[in-house]
Amino acid sequence: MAVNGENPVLTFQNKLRIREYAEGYRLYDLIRGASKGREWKASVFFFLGIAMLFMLMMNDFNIPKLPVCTIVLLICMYMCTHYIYMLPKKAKLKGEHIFKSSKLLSKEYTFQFNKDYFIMENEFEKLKRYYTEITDCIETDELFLLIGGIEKQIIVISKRSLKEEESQILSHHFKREMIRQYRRTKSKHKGRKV
Amino acid sequence: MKSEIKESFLITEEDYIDMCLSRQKYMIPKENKIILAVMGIIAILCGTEAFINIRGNVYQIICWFLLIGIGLYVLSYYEVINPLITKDHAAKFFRYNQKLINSKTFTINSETFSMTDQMHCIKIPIRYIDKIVESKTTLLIFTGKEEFTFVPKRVLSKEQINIIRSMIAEEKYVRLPKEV
Repeated sequence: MAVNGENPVLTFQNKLRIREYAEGYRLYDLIRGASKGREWKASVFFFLGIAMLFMLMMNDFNIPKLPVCTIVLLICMYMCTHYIYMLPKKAKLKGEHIFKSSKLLSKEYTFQFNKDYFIMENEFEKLKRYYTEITDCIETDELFLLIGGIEKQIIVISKRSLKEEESQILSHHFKREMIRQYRRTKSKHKGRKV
Repeated sequence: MKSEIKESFLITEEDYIDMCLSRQKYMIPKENKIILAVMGIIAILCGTEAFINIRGNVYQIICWFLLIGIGLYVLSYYEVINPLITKDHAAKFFRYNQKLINSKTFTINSETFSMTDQMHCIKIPIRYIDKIVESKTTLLIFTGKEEFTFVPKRVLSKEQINIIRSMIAEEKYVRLPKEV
């Protein structure tokens, strides 16, 4: 397919399902949202908790003698669980909630990818975005996630409605046009660390 | 009464910061604020009580002060610390993305709502508006839980705001109780 300034690289229609948007939102949350840096945050609480546990052990677990240590240990345990297990699950649920609450996300969009920018539009909305506005471009087995811009920061493109060939064209296009932003991760279970 | 409102404006850094603060004020659940305030007060009271009555060795005194400090931090988190962080992030984000800011045209009538600029155009039936949130400085127009656009109140007159309020259902219009 010809690639020059005027001819679109690829044009297709895409309609999202709630599960796909939720997965996209979870990835966004890991990269740019509240879950960003959760590993190191959890490890800080983990080591602080170990230190408190060590202090309690040194004092034969005399809790009344070291109440603050005990409270800090409990807080650390909660925070570790929060960052490792609760936050990603919460992000996915939040994604589902956002999808359900929006009248536009479930509508079918027409995407037109050009050399320097893409356009997504439907009967209610039209958005033109240059690749220079994109801060992260993530590809998984199920979707493409484009993060960036001021309005509509999260754009999820489902691979379900794309042919294998179209998916590859888009993937190559993103690799070529967004060298720094592009990353590929595996499916949702294996691709937790992005 | 004029049934359509149409205004063009350019977003300034102050507008953007005000929008972020208003959004945050609206989005944070009241229960979270109450829980944190109660936790903060308990920590301060426990720390003060322990310092006065138990005191103990130097290590313990440091612990009591730490507890009071944590209590103060938690108590002031939503009212002081979080708005300061948000303000800083919003200012940085705006400066970084300043080249993306274009003049916008906002139009609303009894049938449709639209917001257009060079890069993004949205035109939806007014029934698609999920909520309009009015703060001291900003009108946030939500089309979903986190999808929204905004109009700085400086571009609208009081009369125009009243007209907008009359255009949508009463339960969809929220006025933030305390001024931002």
